[in-house]
Amino acid sequence: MINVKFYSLLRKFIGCKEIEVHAKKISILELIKKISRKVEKDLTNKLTQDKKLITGTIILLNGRNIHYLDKLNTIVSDGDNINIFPPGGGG
Amino acid sequence: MNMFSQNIKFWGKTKQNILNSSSILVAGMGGLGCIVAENLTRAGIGKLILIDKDIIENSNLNRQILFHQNDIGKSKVETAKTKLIKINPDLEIDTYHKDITSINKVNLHNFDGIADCFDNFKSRFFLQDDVLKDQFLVHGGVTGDFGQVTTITKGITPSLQQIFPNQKEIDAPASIPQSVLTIGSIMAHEIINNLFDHPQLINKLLIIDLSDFSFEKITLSKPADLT
Repeated sequence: MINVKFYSLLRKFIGCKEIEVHAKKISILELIKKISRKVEKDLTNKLTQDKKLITGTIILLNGRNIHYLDKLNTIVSDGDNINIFPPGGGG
Repeated sequence: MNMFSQNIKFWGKTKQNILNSSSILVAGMGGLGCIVAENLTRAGIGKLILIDKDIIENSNLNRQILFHQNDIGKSKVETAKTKLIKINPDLEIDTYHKDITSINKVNLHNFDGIADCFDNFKSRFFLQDDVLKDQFLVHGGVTGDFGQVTTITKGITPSLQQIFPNQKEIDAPASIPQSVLTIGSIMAHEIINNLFDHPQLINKLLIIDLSDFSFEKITLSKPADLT
């Protein structure tokens, strides 16, 4: 089970705080596509463009930003935790 | 009665003395900066260094609690200094009515910690580069009814760049008073936690979402290739 948590505007878009995805190994991009199908919302289009993560969105895999791993090709495994959010940028 | 008697009743005289001998650089005197500076002043901080290049505008008044209608057009840092001194006349305040990138950074090393209250990631990253090993930076950011807070320390936590890469700058993101005041107060509390040597947000990102009153701490890891 891969646990995916959403925050802020994404939580409102998806309509829930958290989704559990059944997969042993899957890329972040495939995971996003799988969630899109599951919740019937186009999360893929909201988070990615030309197979790249759009600017302004943070995806943490077990607390580590995937920007410093293999970006959307980063492989997620059973038991991993994912956090997805656009950080508050204002002061 | 001492103006800090209620604080001392809670955390004791020793900790009150720690606050009195501490100094914090407040980077950005917008919504977060105002609430952080006022909280620290009422807590009993000894010295504040305020940095902001802007003047007060009408659109700031929904959340920048140190400013009022008759302050429009004045320097944010000088106005904040006037208001804070009225709360505690013994508070020492240095002001820089300048962009962070134009300040001689040597002048910025003499403090215990930084409140990162900027409204853009470029300034945040610039400031963080100069944080010394024995200093801390408490980061806060807010958009709409959502925001985050964490403590950054050199060599112990990931840097702001490592947590927030790939960011786009949004000119004046939407901000409402409730979220700004909540997140600013949490920042002030974490700054005091750091000064008392028990920070709660080292390698933790606290995410606050007022839309459903959820508070969640995410454990952060350093990027493997940058450790």
